[in-house]
Amino acid sequence: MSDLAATMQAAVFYGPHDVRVEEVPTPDEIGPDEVLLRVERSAICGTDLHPYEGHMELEEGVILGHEFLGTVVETGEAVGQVSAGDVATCACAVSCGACYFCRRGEPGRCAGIRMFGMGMALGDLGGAQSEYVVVPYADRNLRKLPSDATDSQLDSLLLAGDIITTGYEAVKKAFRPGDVVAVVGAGPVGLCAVMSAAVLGASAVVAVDTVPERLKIAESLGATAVTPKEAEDAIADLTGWRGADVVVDAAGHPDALTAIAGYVRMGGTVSIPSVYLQDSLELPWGNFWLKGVNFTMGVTHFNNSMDEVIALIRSGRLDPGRIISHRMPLSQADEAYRLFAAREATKVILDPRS
Amino acid sequence: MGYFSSPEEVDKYIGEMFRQASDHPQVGPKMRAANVVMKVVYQDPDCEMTVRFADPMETIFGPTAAEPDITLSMPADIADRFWRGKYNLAVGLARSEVKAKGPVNKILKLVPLTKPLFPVYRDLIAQKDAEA
Ligand SMILES: NC(=O)c1ccc[n+]([C@@H]2O[C@H](COP(=O)([O-])OP(=O)(O)OC[C@H]3O[C@@H](n4cnc5c(N)ncnc54)[C@H](O)[C@@H]3O)[C@@H](O)[C@H]2O)c1
Ligand SMILES: [Zn+2]
Ligand SMILES: [Zn+2]
Repeated sequence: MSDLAATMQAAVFYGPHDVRVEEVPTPDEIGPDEVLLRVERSAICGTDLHPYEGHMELEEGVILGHEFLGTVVETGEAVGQVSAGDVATCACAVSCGACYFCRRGEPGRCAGIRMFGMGMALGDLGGAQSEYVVVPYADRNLRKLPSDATDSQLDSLLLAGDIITTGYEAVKKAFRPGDVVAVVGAGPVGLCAVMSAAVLGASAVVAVDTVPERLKIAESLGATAVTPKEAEDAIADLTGWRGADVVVDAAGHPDALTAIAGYVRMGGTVSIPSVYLQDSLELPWGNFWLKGVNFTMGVTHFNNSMDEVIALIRSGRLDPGRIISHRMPLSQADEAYRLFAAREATKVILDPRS
Repeated sequence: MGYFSSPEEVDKYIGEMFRQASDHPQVGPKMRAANVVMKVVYQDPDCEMTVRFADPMETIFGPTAAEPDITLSMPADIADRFWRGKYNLAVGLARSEVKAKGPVNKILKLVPLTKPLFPVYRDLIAQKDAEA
């Protein structure tokens, strides 16, 4: 790694609404099972907004970013699945592969789960809104991408380690072909759930949000797009007053969870990929209980679903890259965060090379 | 033998760090506002410590009737490495070297507050290290 510059550009967290682009030391050490990647595209995710908005504790000085792809620069001696020069993307939350939960095929519950750019509480990994990133447990968590992938496929593949796999799994794990799916929150994750529901064979998809631009995209993806006020009636109309078979909460707000009790059918499933960190919530429990609703939630099992999503992107059946609204140089990360947090941008890609 | 020669040394260094944390300009206010009781059970030397993250913050060495919200268990040597900034908690949890029980969201909230205390701990152990 001696031929790399000693410092690199990175987006560094200093506190709520305070992201600064700085020169930081380039990683100069990798372990035997690790890979050093030169980041070529890096996204801002709704999860980055939790510390940015002050809803999640994160220590100062953390390099942000966990949704990325890039070129392998160097591999540790135990790495066998990728080599220098390969283009690869990575699960945003890496699992160890060896713990009780990983052995049971539940990598999202890995006892030592680590997430890029989320600080000490999530494994102290440098983030990928930077020029270089170190990937641990690389054979397991990286995916080598086909060398003939087009530029627009790379935009979609970039999202395979995070939002598209999250939207896809949130629907798939609760779903039968022909189901009516309601997606609450038409942000990046919600839009990914909308397109996944269509690919998986939903008979109808309803998207709920308040942001007109986001509802417009949901509509272009084939969904019936409605505001929270219209949602319960729209879902009732579509289902003969039965309710949606699957409701995905991609909003992450207690108001959404409350409203969902009116959207879901008896015995339906509420699938919650969005993050809740509150100690407790007040919910319409009697309605949920009498309806016999199933709940499924938590960190996505990226390792289990990434390959399916990558194959569907390669075949052209999934195209999440189309929701990208802004491309900006990494040097403008602070402005990029502001735009995304204000919902003036649907999805922002940062280019560390500029 | 491990880094700490006796339970009293665990209190002298780690316990003292928690006592000083309450007045730390960066993390003191957040710790006093956390409203969480954390018990840490150490091995080699075997001992336990309970920290009440409340106002006033309180660090109790040895058994206490205070009911913990969060309980952690780890060898005292690992605690020493952690506070030196040389131990990755996630890796330790994956290997079961460190065990945790209690609400995960409360644990996630406390962990980032520990980093500004690393220099406090290093100052406390500086003399012990110099004598070793
Ligand atoms: N489970 C996982 O592994 C995983 C992975 C990626 C993201 N996430 C989480 O998914 C969530 C969504 O991510 P995103 O990138 O789409 O974020 P986002 O904040 O951009 O999108 C949320 C959307 O929900 C809408 N919304 C808010 N309250 C609403 C309500 N009451 N009714 C209807 N719509 C409402 C907002 O207008 C916004 O468009 C976040 O909590 C993120 O942390 C989880
Ligand atoms: Zn994310
Ligand atoms: Zn694991």
